[in-house]
Amino acid sequence: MGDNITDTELVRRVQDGDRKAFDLLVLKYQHRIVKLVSRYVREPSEALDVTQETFLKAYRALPNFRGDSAFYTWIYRIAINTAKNHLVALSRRPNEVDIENADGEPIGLDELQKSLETPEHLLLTDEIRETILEAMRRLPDDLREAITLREVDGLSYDEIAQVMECPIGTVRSRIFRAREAIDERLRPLLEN
Amino acid sequence: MNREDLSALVDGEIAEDELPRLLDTLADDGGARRSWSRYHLIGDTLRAGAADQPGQPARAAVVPLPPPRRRLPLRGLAVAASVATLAVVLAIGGGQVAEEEAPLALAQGGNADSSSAAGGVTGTPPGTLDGGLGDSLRTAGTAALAAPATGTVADDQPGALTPLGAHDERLNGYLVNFNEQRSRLGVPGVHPYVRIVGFEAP
Repeated sequence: MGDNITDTELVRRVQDGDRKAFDLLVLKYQHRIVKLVSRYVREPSEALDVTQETFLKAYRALPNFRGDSAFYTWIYRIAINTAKNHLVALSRRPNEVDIENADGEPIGLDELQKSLETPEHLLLTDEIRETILEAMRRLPDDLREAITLREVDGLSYDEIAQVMECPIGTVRSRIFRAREAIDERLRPLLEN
Repeated sequence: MNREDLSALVDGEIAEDELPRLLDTLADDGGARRSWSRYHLIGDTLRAGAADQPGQPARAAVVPLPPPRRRLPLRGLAVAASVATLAVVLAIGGGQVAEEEAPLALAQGGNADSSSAAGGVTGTPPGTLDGGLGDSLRTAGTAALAAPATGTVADDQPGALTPLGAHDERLNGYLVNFNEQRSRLGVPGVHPYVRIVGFEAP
């Protein structure tokens, strides 16, 4: 069991025409893609545009995605190429932001574009980061250790259970409680 | 949607047969979808926080470090190490002096610890100096002193490093004091002074 099986299932659903499944992929990866794109495109609003463009391209190309690589690896490459193309276009026309229009796109993409979230909170990285790290510092040791082993060290629940010498159910509960404690501080920031 | 299930889903730790049902539920639950997004944001931020700290262990950025431990009194250790180094120089230089010029004696008796080593370096490896230079030398300088050295002095040779008393203490005090002041005085090393002080011995 792992992270990829969730993505595989979501991709399969998108390929079967389930757009809500694509929304979940967007919600899952949007922060990472924004951060990635921001390495190339410094202007925040442009980075959001390029991020949205990345997801639109991914949605168009997803029927041809065969799953040879992980979904994130695949969309990572799309994001890099989109960002580079954006920079090339900017260098040709420095006073314009050259985002491709919807010419030739399948019907329904406009609706998708509207539904894609590109909220400004994606760019509140410093405040978000400080809020999350401060919440981490306030966690009880066992919760902080559990979520660190999962999110930073990338261990599975089974591996964490061995490291922390506790049942897997306890690991599951500790990671959940850690997330909830952090989310409690994060949520007001994003909702405001 | 059960948030603990959602948390496990974020980690891909859901049984395969449960996955479709949970994804269906998630897709239709706006609150759960927002939590799904925030849970991933938390993970992304923690990983990014770790990755933004080059040269540090990844978790250092997100796991508070334990409070710094009280620093050990290193000054005494540094002095002991300096004296140990001097002792090696002295042992080597002393051997050479013994062979080339004159017997080198470094004071006699007066040190309670020296009684067992009154015969010089008896029972210790070649190049090992024991007795007469204080406890700190014996502990901090053991490794340095245990190294094989040319000009090894045996207790039955002329110029043996016989542990001595009042003069020994005066010499050691001088060397320690000099070594502490050396950098301030701007002089490069102690070897010439070792020889000078050594020749002051009766």
